[in-house]
Amino acid sequence: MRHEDQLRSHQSDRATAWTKLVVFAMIAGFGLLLVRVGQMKLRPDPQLARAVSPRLSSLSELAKRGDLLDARHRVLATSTVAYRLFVDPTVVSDAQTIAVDIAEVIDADPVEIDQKILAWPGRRYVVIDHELDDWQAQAIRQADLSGVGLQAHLVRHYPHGETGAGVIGMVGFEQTGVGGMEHLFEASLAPRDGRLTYLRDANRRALWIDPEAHRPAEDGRDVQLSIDLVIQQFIEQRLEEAVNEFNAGGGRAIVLDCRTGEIRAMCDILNPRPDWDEITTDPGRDIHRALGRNRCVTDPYEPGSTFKPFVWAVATELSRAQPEEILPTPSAPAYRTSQGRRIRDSHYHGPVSWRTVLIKSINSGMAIVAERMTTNELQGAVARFGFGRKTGCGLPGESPGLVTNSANWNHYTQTSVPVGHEIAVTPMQMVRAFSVFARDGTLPAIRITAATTEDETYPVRHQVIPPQIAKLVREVLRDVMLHGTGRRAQSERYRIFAKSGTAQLPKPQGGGYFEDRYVSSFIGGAPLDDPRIVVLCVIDDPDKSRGHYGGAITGPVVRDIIDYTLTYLGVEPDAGDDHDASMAAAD
Amino acid sequence: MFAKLLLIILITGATACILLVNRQQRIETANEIAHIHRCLLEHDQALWTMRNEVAARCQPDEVRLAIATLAGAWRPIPSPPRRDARSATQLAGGDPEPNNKLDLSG
Repeated sequence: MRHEDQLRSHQSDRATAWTKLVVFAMIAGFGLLLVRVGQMKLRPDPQLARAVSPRLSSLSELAKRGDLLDARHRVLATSTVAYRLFVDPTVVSDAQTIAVDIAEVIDADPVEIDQKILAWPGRRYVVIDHELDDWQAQAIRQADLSGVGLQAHLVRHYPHGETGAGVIGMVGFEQTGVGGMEHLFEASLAPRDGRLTYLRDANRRALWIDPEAHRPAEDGRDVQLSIDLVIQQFIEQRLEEAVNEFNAGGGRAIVLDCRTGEIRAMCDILNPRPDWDEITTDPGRDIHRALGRNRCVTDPYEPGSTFKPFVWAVATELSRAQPEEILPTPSAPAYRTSQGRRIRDSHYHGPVSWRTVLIKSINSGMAIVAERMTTNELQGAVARFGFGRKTGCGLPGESPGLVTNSANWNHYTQTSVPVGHEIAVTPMQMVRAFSVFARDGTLPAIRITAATTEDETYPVRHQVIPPQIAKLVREVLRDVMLHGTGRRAQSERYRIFAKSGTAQLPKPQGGGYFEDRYVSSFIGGAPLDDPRIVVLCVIDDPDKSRGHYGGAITGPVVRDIIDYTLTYLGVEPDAGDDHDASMAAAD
Repeated sequence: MFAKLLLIILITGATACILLVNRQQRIETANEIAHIHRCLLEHDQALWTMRNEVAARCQPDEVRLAIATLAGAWRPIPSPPRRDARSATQLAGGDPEPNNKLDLSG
């Protein structure tokens, strides 16, 4: 029994000793492990340090530039992703055959690829193709060629070609706007690329993405313009026809929604004609149509007789003349003002009413009433309609036009401005001012973007003339179409109210006007009772042998644009008997 | 004592295994997230391309041509009714002839 106890005690001691030994060995092992870990952390071997250093990769996420949309949400400009093919010649598997390998994959000329690689010896980034087709990019991915890479980048598209190019503008190589709306709305359209930093394994697979290391991509905002693509296409086509037909130096046209102040279409054409170069040039347009300046807002012109309705309206409001009052306009050349200035007319009608002065566009009648107005009244009339200051439409390079200041305003100015001379306005100013007659006498705020709320659609503007005067001017301008200079521009569908203008072309270096070169213009609105649009067309320097009067050259253009636009907008025709009666009168 | 030691070793081993499995799952999840993220981007980019193609193929002239080949009378969609513009005078209640009726002509 005692022997058994001793044996049991001996075994127990041995087990305890072994246990202690194992525990000690484990503690020693863990201790050594900790020391080694500490050593590797604090003073690692350089080779090891390279291997265990954090394997972080960064990825750039492409964000989309905002789209430009037209008034009916058609896409005018959009972006897609394209792939750029590049080669790093220092890491390709076989520099001698890489060109052939790539050429086989993307079906290209190997010699051309080889030349590109050899053109930049030592360079590690050689672009082979800036924009691969989808199938080519897919083929390159599948081929998995060493030293050959794809780089995603944005490409801007204009799905409707050159339609509205002058208004829309374009983007440069860096995908930033360099002209037109692309430039104007750069802050809204511009995207912010995202960035993703992640831990990767030896095979470059993502091991861990730290949420704080991810900055999501932010697409640019879409911008909806007030431009309507269909109307834009039509006015471009129609204006080009007119410019070609009359071999003109250029042409400009604007369609304005007079209710909301939104620009529905805007077009500016320059005809590269030899003797027109001395008048104006546009180097930007020579590079690309979208880079040209928009002469509808940048280049003022003399409006000629299209300016008469503004003075007529204010003079009538101030009772400087009554519509039916007979004025002493001459029967034969020429009227002389109180200061002895000769005022010429194209036709002499003898004494006529103040209303007829506007209908027949009689310069002498305008001069007679202008002399009854004070300088301040006439200057006030010019300022009231917004001439001499920018419209605030936001388009780059907008000109305020040219209005003689008070110090230089003399008797000549007093009798020149009412007939649209000695003053220069931009087409944008003209359509805005003319829309006062189409509204209830208020001046609209011009918009190039579509209004998104009612408040934006109808911002309150100041009253320029009383509503009854606006309506009266509309009626008289309707008579211009029936009995005056607009007869050749009659519409069979809509009752248009309009005014034509023919001004002499000023010499570019000053010193007067060309004797036989003109700027023809026509501005009108429709329908008469409830106007929807105002249209202006200006033809610069038409070939006189083919015609130069505004009513004959630009009138039909405005009529066609009004007919087309109102039909497109679904406005019921209102001409009917009015048109038949005017045709009978003309016969 | 030996049994206790064995138990400790087994528990430690099992814990290590669970941690390893957890780590592996975390890595796979991260990978999956990265993959899905990439798929989303690719789909987005495919949408951009399609949007461009749709726009390019829906030229107004082509739409008109398509309409012309279809039977039936087609009319433009009139603009929705809108209130007429109001001037400052009208808003101030000073206009003798306020004109704020709905326009249904369009």
